Formats: sequence, C-alpha cells, structure tokens
Amino acid sequence: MTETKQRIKAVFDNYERFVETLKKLAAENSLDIEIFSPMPVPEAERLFPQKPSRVRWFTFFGGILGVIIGFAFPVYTALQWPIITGGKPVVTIQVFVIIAFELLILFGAIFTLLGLLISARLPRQNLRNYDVRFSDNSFGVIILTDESHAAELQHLMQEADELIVDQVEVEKSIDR
Amino acid sequence: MNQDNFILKNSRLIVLAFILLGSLFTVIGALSANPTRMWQIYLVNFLLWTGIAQSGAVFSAALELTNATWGARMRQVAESMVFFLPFSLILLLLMIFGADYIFPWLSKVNISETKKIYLNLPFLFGRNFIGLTALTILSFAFVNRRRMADQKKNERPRSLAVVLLLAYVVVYTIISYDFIMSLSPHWYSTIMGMHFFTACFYTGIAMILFTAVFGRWRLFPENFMQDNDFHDLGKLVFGFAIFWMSLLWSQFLIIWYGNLPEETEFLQLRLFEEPWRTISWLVIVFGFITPLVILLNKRGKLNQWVAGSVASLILIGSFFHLFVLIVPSLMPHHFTFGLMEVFVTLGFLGLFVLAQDIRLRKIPIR
Amino acid sequence: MDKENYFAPTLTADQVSDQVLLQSLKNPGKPFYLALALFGGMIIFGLYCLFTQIVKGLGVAGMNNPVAWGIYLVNFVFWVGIAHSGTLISAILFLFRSRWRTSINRIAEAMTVFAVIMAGIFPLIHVGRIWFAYWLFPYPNARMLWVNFRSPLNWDVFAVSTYMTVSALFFIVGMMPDMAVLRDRFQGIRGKIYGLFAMGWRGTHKQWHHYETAYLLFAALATPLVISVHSIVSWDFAMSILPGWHSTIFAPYFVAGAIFSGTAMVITILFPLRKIFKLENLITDKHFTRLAQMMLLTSLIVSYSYLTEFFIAWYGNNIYEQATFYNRAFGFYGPFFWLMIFCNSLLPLTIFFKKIRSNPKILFLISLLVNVGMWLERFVIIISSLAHDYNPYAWKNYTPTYIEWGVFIGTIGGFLMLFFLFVKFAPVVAISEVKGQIFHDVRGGEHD
Repeated sequence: MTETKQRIKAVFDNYERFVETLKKLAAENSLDIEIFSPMPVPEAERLFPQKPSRVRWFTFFGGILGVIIGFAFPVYTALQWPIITGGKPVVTIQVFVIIAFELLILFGAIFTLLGLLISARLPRQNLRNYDVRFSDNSFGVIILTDESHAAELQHLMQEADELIVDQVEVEKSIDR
Repeated sequence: MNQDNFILKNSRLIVLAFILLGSLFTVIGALSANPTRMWQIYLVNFLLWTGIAQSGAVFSAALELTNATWGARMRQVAESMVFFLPFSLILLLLMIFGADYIFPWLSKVNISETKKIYLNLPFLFGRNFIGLTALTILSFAFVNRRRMADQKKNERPRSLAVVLLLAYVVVYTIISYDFIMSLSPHWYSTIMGMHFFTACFYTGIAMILFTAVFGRWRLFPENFMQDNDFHDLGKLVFGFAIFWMSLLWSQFLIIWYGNLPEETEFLQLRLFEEPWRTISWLVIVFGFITPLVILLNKRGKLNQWVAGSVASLILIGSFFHLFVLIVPSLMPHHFTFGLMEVFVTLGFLGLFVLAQDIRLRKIPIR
Repeated sequence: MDKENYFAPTLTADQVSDQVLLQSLKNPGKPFYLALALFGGMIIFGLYCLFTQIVKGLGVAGMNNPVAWGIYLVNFVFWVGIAHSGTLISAILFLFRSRWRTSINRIAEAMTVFAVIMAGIFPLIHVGRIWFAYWLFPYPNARMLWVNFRSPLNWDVFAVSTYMTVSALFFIVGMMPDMAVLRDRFQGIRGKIYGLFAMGWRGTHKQWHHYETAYLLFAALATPLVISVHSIVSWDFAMSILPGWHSTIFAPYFVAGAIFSGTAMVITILFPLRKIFKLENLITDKHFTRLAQMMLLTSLIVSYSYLTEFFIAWYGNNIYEQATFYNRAFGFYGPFFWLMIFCNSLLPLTIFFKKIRSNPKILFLISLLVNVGMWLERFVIIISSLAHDYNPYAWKNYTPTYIEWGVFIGTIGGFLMLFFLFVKFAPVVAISEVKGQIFHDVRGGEHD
C-alpha cells in the first residue's frame, strides 16, 4: 500500500541558518523529519526530543547476563572436579567475582553494540535519502509531507542553500 | 541573604548541648575504669571529622587543577567544612592523654627496636602535629586565595593546589600508619595509606552531597544547587564508591589469597568473627552497595531526598568503617556501643557544625 | 567542563576533513615505505627468534630455575601497560568531559588495540608450546577437565581478552561516523571497505541519538575495565607470597604505572606523527602539556608506591621483605633500579616547570626515557624478586638471550607496523568530534 508524498530536501552550508531553520520547524507538529549532520547537533536533540535511547537496556541486561554466567560457569566447572587446591574452597566466590566482573563488562559491551546496531538500524546497504555532502560540512533536513503542507514547509526552509522538492511513493506507516 | 539564614538559628542550643555532653562524656570516659573504650571512639571520630573537613579543601583543589567549572557551587559548600581543621589540631593534642590506651606498642605489646625508631610517642605526635598544622595552613591559604581569585580575577592558586594535594597524600598516609596500622603493631599493608585517604575523600564528598541536600533551607540562597549539580555530585559519589571498594577489595583479596599468618590476623578478626563481621558487612552495604544500586539510576541522583539519604548512609558507613578498622585492634573481644559512643560522636558532630557555622557567618555562600 | 580551545585558533571545519583526508591518507612517500620495510624486518627477526624457540624448545630463552618468568612477562606487562592510557584518554576523559581528549583520542585508542594484541602474544610464547594456546580457554575437552578459575593466570585470560574485545569495539564504533566520511570520499574497492566499517551510517539525528548513548555506555564500561585489567595483571604477582610481589598496593600501583607508561607512549607517538602529517592545527602544544600533566600525576603515584613499598618493608620488620628490597636497590640488578628511579620518579618532576611542559621536544625526550623506565620497572619487580627469594640455595641471576630480545623487537616492529598502516588507511583524528567542538565554539557554548 503506497501513497504519494512530497519530499523536501534542504541542504545547508551554514550552521547558523541550519539551526535557525530547525527552530522554525520545531514549531510544526508531527513532522516526518530526518536531520542529517556530520556531527551530533545538540539543538536537534533539544528541538526534536526523542525518548531515551533503548541502547542502555541492552547494556543493562547484557551486564546482568554476564554476571550470571560469570558466577554460574566457574561454579559449575569447579564442581565438575571438586578438588581443593592451595587450601582454597572448591567454590571460591571471592575469586569468581573477578570472572563475573570481567564478563559483566564483556557482555555489557557486546550487547551495547547490538543495541546500537538494532536501534540505529545498522548495518544497512541502502543509504536512503542520503547525500555525500552530509558527511562533509553540510547539514540536511529531509521532510516527507502531504501536498497540502508542502508549500508552507518550503517557505520555512527558504534559507537553505539548496532546496529540492520531489514526489515519492512511500509505503504507509513506513518504519524509520 | 540575611543573617537569619545560618545553620544554627534555632538549633544553636542543641549544638552547644551536643558539644557539652560530648566533652562531659569524654572526661568521664577518660577517668573511668576502662578509658580505652572512650579513647577508641574518640580516635574514630577524630579521624572521621578531620578527614571530612580536610577533603573539603582537597575537593576544591582538585577542581582547581582539573579546570572543572561544573563544581563552582558545590565547592563553596566543600570549603565551608574547612574551618573544623584548627579544632582538630587541639583534638589531636588531647589524644596525648590517652596515648597509653590507644597505642598498644607503648606498653602492652613488644615491638622490635628498629620499629621503636618510628613508633615512639614524641616522634608520632610531633610528625602528625606538624603535618596536620601544615595541612591546615595550606587549606586556609588555598581556600582564601581561591576566593580572592574568583572575586578579583587574580591569578588562580594552582601551585598551592598542587602542594595541598601532595601534602594531603603524604600526611594522610602517615596518619593511617600511625593511628590505624600501628594499633595492630605486627600487621602491615602497603595499600593502607591510599585506602585511608581515598576513604576520607569519599566520606568528604558524601558530606558535601549531604550538606547540599539537607542544608538547603537555611544554608543557601533559593535554587542555589541545580539539577545538574546533583547529577554531577551523584556521579562523583557513585564513582568513588566503586573506587573505594576496589581498593578495599584488592587489599582483601591479596591478603586472603596469600594467607600469611602475620597479615591474616587483621582480616580474620574483622571479616570472620562476630560482631565485627556484621559491622564489616554493614559498612559494605552502606558504603558500597547502596550507592551502587541507587545512584546508578539518573533519577536516584536527581531526586534530592534519595541522594541525600544515600549520602547519610555513606556517612554512617564511613563511621563504622573507621570503627571496624580501629576498635577490634584495641578491644578485640568486647563490643560496646552505648551512651558513651553516641555522645562522644555527637560531641564531635556538634563541634564540626559549630565550626562550619562560624565560617558561614564570616563568608556566606552566595 | 573547561572551555579552553585546544585547537589552533584558525582551524575551520573544512580544514579538519582536508587535513585528515589529504594529509594522512594521501601517498606518504618514500620515508613511509622505508619505515614499513624496517618494521617488516623487525617482525621477521622476531618471527625467526620465535620459530627458533619453537623448534629448539624453551631452553634457548634465558629463563632458569628461580627466574621462571623472564622478559617475556616483562614485555607482557609492558604492552598491557601501554594499552591502558588509550582507553583512559578516550573513556575516562570523555566521562569527565575533558575537551582535550578530542583529536588525540583516536590515536590513543588505536595504540590500545595494537598494544593489547602485542601483549596477548607474550604469555603464549612464554608458556612454550604455543600451538596449545587454546588450552587457556575453558572448553569442554575430552576428559571434561576445566581450567582452574582460582588461578590468577586464568583471570588474565578473561581480563585480557575482554579488554581486547571491548577496546576494539570502542575503537570501531568510535570510527563509524568517520568511516562514513571516507566512504563518501573514496570510490572503488577502497570506498567499499570504508563503507563496510561505516555500516551504512547516514548521520541522521536518530542515529546520532543512539550513537551518543552507546558511546557514553562504552566509556562507562571501559573505565572500570581499564582499572580491573591492570589490577588483575598485578595480581598475577601479588597473589603469590614472594617478597617483592606480595604487596597489597600492587593493584593501584600497577594501574598508575600502566597509565604512566601509556601516556608516555602517546607522547612518543604523537610527536613524530604530528610532524610527518602536519597536524599542528589539530594537535597543538596544549595537548602535549595536558598529556605531560597526566604523566606527572601518574609518575607521582608510582613514586608514592615505590616509597611505600620500601617504607613498609622496613616498618613491617619482616626479614624476607627487607632482604628483597635491599637486594633490589643494591644487589645485582641495582643499577637498573636506580635508572628506573631516575626515569620514572625524578625526570618527570621537571614537568612541574612550565617551560618544560610546554615544550613538546623536551617532552618527547622525557617520554622516551619514561618508556625505558617503565620497562625497567617491570623488569626490576619481576626478575629481581624471583632471582632472590626465600631460599639462598636457589638464588640465581638471569640474563635474557638474544631470542628473548628478538621476540621483543619483533613486537615493537609489529606494533609500529600496525600503527603506520592505521595512520595510512584510517582517520587518525575523530573528525566528527573535532567538528562538533569547532561548531560548538562558534556558538560560544551557550548550552553549558
């Protein structure tokens, strides 16, 4: 199921004008907007607030998993061959703390990476809407909108160095 | 901000009462049949409050050296604690009267001749008095110069900050050897100095957090501390909880693993025999696990009541940390915690608050 | 947060990309290839020595009966130490919001990854039959015998491999946005490879949002990891009851030493690198000053530990400890000890002078000597304690053979080779972070 939408792509060479435009756009409700920049833009975070990233939950549960494995695995293996060495008990929790700690970090880090890849939809082949200038020193705003709003939004973004409007077929409720 | 806003407006009497009762119990305890009981709690408190007061200046100096601007407000809170230091010098000298009961190597335990070169009364009090006096002077000089630099845009007292930090490390290492390690005359641990000054600093920042939360109504102008201040302070406390524990842990693990008799007696008593075992666990729960769990969450850091409660638990934990380091060395098989302990502690608390009040009258927080 | 500008005041965002892309990725010319050839030669010599040892057996190394841990383990600790400041500069300074980490953090991270790889080789060489290296890992083998988790050497396996994994992840994730920059600038197969590392990065605000969270979390995980890894390395020694090894201060002492040596190595590498690739705009003298201050701080902690160890050996009244430390300073290996004291404790004190800490040339010289000093520190700790333990009957000195030196030289070659290739093919500076700071400064930091 597809529908026709207007895609407005604005490219800014100037950071100040880019931020100004963002401020104007922030006043609009329910924009389908993507902001491109070569580095994180605090204003974009502030003007278009997002939910706290899910990545931290990945880290959290990865860490917990690491701790569980870090205790369970040494205990299991120690009990497989219960022999006292060096006068230390077979199940030496004091020592397994170290293994648990290392695995906490290891699993936490691996899950953080997974979390990042899943949340940011990476890795991907198709660089949708991308423009190579966005990794240089240009900033971009790309908005998908209905025909009715297009003119108004274009007016808001008139300070852009380059403004391209075209028709695109998009699937409804496209997942971004 | 007017004069009424100081700490003691309504509670001056209470504070004075604390000090009076504390002094009374100190004297009674010193003259009683078992003066050790009083002197050990006196020593615990002496180290606790001196450490807290000193870390106020150290905190400020560390901020100075790292060019950190995030602590501009809380360093004023920190610096207000410094005024206790001159009092602590007097409190140190008072301990000469209890030296016989505090230091087992004076009469009770035999130590070798070489050790007597280091462990003897005149040298011990001499070096500690000189060290603490130097630190007091340095702290006051630094805090004043720092304030001048802020007001008049003078040169920042960076070299003074360096000297202060170096002196802090050296003097507190010596204190830890003299007042903690030497109480078990045959025991030694190389990490003791670092463990002790880290613990003091950790207690100090917990105290800053505590003061920042519970001093709000009277101490500060409206909206003085802001959310991100609490966030930063919470992170700092969280980080130090882990760091302090890691030092404690490396000390424990190495001694436990090596299992050498001359080293393990210290841990055996504290970690495996009641009632010290319970107190040690209490220290770990209050000083490490609570901040770890609660301050991990951003909401835990930002909710001031939660953060303040955690800070007060850390302070209680720190008290018992010193308690369990010192007391089992002196009275290994008698655990007493009664009016004597409570009132001597309250006496020190009163003196600390009084000192802070004097300072805040002179230099209000703005 | 400090608001100082650490870049050259004239630096603009355009220059960042140009400088990184053009200066360091273009054909670097003859000296570069000559250097690569030299490092290749070192690697080949190292491999030759290694194969000699494999063919003839461990006897070709100088290790003897009391000194069972020769310079292979000295090198292991040395390289792990070097690896530490990378994560420190990257992660800890990130958490403390220190702005000077930007523009040198990538180099430090690369150093970490390569140094850990070099470190990881040594225990395997040391234990002899390198083809059984997989025995170190816990796996269900035919007799259902598991590794002994109570052994500190096994903690090392977990610590070092965790460290290697996490620092590599941190490094690669940190490079993702910059790899996108390269992907967009290069065509053909090279562009494709960069694209692989960029993983389809587009730089949308949603991606940045997740990226920043993940980066913060990586930093928060890496910081305690750094401390734990070198603590565990120190426990390889401290868990024994050998005088000179069994000391409770070992963990913080080794961690500080590791950061000390790592910072010195960063200076050692940055100085020529900046010159060769003309990165003066990005890596300014202020960066060197900050690094020097960090070196000074850690040097002081290390000196504190030296003093503490000697004092407690005297105070503790334990004859074995006293003999060990007396022997350390005045015994067979005494000269190394004093050289170590000079390089690690005395020389860095000159950094207190502003003239010296703002002069990269002198700092470079100091850092070279600190590298030597820190290698000697591990030598003094490991060898002098082993050679002179409880039983006078077993005392024996140790001198490394050319085989052992050869393997060490080989790893130096390997480290530098990896580093040079990294500089040639990857962005040496975190482009996005530098740009972020430049644009931030333009706005005057309104959101602090």
